[in-house]
Amino acid sequence: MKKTILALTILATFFLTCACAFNENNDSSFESTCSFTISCESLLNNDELPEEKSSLVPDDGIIFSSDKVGFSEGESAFDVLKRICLEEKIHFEFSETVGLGSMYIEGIGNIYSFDAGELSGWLYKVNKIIPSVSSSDYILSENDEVLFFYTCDMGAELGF
Amino acid sequence: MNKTYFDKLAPLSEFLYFFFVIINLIFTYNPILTFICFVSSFLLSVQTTSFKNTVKITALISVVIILGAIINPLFNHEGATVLTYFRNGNPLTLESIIFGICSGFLTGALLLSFSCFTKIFTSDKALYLVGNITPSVSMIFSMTLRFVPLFFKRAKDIFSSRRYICPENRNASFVNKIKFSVKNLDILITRCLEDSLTTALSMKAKGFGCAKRTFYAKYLFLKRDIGVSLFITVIGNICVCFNFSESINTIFYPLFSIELAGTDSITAYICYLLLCFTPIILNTKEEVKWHFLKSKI
Repeated sequence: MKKTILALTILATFFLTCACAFNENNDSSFESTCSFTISCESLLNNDELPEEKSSLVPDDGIIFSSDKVGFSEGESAFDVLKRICLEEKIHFEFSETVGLGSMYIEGIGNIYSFDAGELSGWLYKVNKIIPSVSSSDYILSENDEVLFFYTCDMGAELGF
Repeated sequence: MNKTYFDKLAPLSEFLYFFFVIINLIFTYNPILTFICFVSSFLLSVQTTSFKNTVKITALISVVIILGAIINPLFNHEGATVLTYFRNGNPLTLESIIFGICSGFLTGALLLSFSCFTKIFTSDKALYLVGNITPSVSMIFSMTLRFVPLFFKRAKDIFSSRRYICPENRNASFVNKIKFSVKNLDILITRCLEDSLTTALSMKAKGFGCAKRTFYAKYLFLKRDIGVSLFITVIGNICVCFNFSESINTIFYPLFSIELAGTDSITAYICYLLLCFTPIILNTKEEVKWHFLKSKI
């Protein structure tokens, strides 16, 4: 019995140390800037979203918006999104697609994919075009216009 | 094992009790119902077996609860209260830990009540209940249920007797120990196969499979059984109705909230409490009665 308790304590401490604080380097010396928006406007008049989650949608549907977001050379759209969410304390969950190494965004601000129907989820646009690669593979360039948006119909209602 | 009052009831009322307790628990995911079921199953297990045995099972179950609390937040990061961040950037949230603990408790409560179920609802009771509807299936079912403890008992017998036959094996090498165990398994399987052949022959000789057979059951269906069955059915159905009306729904994400106030939810909790504690109240009542009768003499 003592051995079991000891093993469990070790296991618990191991997992808890895994969860130790994420250290980000707070270098504000970024070379380039872009405009960045996270929006869930499609959820403003949506009936499919469960009741307990409707309070999460802001009144104008914009979770985050800024004209000038700094980023350094070679950073992808996903990296910038992750940094913004950490800085602004917006809830954010992603998972890595095994084999491809690309990131899948499961939820931003506790609004998850499949919350508003089978075809709902997060998509992104750069300069009003949906790129054909994952956001973690898209390298940003100067003055890009990045928009992460929630869709309820695989992007069809937004003309994709 | 000392038989309790609930043990001696008709099999139907026992079956109904476990059916309603488990059905109500599975479909709600409500932590309060889980807690009620956990406590009542613990007490029932103490009454039917012993305190020591129950604590042993509960210690095993607490491992499930701890594992649930650890594993769920590793894979699920939903929830509004962010505690800290994992190294890859995903958040560790309070809600996911709560959900892990609740689901661990649910599994634990189910395991406890199923351990009571196997102690109380033995295979002969199952055979008695469904024997008329599906004789062969229930026969096979009860035989399989019997085989598991039988296997353990025989394995123990074989192992202990073989250890005394070859005592030099105590300090044997690892390979020799494995050889010893494989031989034990060989003996066990041969013995079980032989035994099942004997059983089959004996059953055939006694006329198993002939049409128009009756069987003897040692269970009665008395007035008290009608009362208990009716009570359990009515109160269990009330609980099911409350569950399907979603008055005791629990919301885990994005913010954890339980329905505590409100007449609907309180009625549902009290009904479930009564349902769960029925056998415990009956057993205690019987024990108290017996105690007073004994002291008079």
